[in-house]
Amino acid sequence: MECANCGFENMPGQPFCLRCHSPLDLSRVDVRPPRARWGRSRGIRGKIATTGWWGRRIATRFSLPRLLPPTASLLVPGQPQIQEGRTDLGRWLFRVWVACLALTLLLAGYPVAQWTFDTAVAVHAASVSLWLGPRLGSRRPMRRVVAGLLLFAALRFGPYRGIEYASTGLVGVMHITHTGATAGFLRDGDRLLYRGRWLRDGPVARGDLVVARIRERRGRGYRVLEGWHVNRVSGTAGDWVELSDGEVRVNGEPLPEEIRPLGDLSALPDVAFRVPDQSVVVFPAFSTLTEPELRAGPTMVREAATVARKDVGKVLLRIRGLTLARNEAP
Amino acid sequence: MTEGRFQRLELDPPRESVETREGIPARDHRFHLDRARNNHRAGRFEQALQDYTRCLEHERTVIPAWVGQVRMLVELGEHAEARLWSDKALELFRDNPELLAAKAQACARLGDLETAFQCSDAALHAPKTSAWRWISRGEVVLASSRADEATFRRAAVCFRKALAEEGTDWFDRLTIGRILVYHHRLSDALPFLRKAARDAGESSFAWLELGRCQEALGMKAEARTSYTECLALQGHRDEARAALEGLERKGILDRLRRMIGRKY
Repeated sequence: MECANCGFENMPGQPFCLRCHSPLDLSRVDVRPPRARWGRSRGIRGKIATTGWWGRRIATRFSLPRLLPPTASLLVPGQPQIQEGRTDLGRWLFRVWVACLALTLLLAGYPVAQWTFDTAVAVHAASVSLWLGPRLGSRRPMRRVVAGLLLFAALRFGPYRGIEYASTGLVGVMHITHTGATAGFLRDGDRLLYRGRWLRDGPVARGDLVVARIRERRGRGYRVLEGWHVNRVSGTAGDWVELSDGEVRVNGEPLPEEIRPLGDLSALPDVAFRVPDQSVVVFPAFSTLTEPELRAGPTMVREAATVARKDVGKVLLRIRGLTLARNEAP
Repeated sequence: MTEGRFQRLELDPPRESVETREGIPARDHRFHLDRARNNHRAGRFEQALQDYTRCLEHERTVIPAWVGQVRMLVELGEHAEARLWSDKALELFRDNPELLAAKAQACARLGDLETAFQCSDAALHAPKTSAWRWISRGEVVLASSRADEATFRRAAVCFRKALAEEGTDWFDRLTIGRILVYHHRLSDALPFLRKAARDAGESSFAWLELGRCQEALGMKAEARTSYTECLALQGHRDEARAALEGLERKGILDRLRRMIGRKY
């Protein structure tokens, strides 16, 4: 038997070539080459494959593309195009998407952030639409436009709505447009990042700057309107809080200067009450109260200042233009 | 033909010859190998890969078919698979220089330059030489540093040596040109592609590649001529037709689309 590799004449029945040690019986060798499941092999997979014997084993047997269904690539814009071989287009789609999301984060709290977020969704919809187009077999531009719009709506009110909900659950953003009594500490245009509803288990102490959600409440002769305000916490659950001539006393002791509520509270009627369980006291800024609320007297002030613990988000960061300031006294 | 020492032993039945009808070539491994080579030279890499596989199904000892499979996988962008397959082929045909050269190319494209150089060194140290071994060496050198002019000069020496080998033709020039384009050396690739297209005769693939390179370099008029030539040689070449239509579009959106979706 002649060796196909080196041409050496071997004894019949010899399993390996005596000269080059190549196998001589190739009748059972599989000749179909392995193929990349999604066309071209990806860079990371290639990198893993080149790390050695184990790397090759992992890359070829347990690679992510083999574990995930092909449609998983649709989760990342541009990825389907990269896998189809349109690398430049795929990379550009991915870059624009990432840039839009980064801008959304940078501009969080401003109305324009909504536009950049929607643009990111549109880029994702375009990527999926480009992938889907040839598979649907439609070449009519109008159908593609309609399909793209439907995809945009499905993504915007589907997974991206979930992302939006999750992000506000973690961190809330308040864009300050009307400083009111907090002027001096805050300026118009400032943004406050505060703990979202999923991160409110942490302790809140007196003097902490918080964003409080005031829920609508009605009583005899008054009505507290729903809204948000920013101020320091004056009392926590179980404290006896007194407001007298604009000065706040907690358990009989006046609050130190550095943790007093922001703004002038002298226009508010005097009131004394115990803070209920699972609640904190955050006095509303005087200018945020309406005339009927002020006329309603102490009851209204107590109702407006007592905020459920779950409605209070501690301010994590104050963003002023390009500077970051911590939750500190002015 | 010389007779082997053990051919007179009556152990294995003699291999049956393939019966052919008069005038119709037998669909044996030679037929599939020829068809694979033709498809390779026409730029139809997927079909070429299938034909190389069919060739091996008939005869597993055809080393050029194994080399062809690895090269086709590289051409199709499946570099990790190409490396895997070259490893398997090298287990069957140990230290085969052509297979080592193919593995060197796959490794170079994967960025594993150490292995690529080892394989390329081994391929060149083997007896005899071939154009493919030097072309592969050139690519490995080129991949080692894309922006370095000195490295490019060393790669150019390898390519010159490849073209100095016996039996080289336009397709080797085209292969070198395509390798240079892959490594973003468009202006260096242009002379190779031009010469390949001039010598190619009836092949439209060389004109298509030349057109793509010219288009990427911004030479629109020349690219248009190349695509037209490609279509004149092969009317149903869809890539050339699409590229020509793309060149005709002049709107801002079309320009943007061309910029985003360009080949190189």
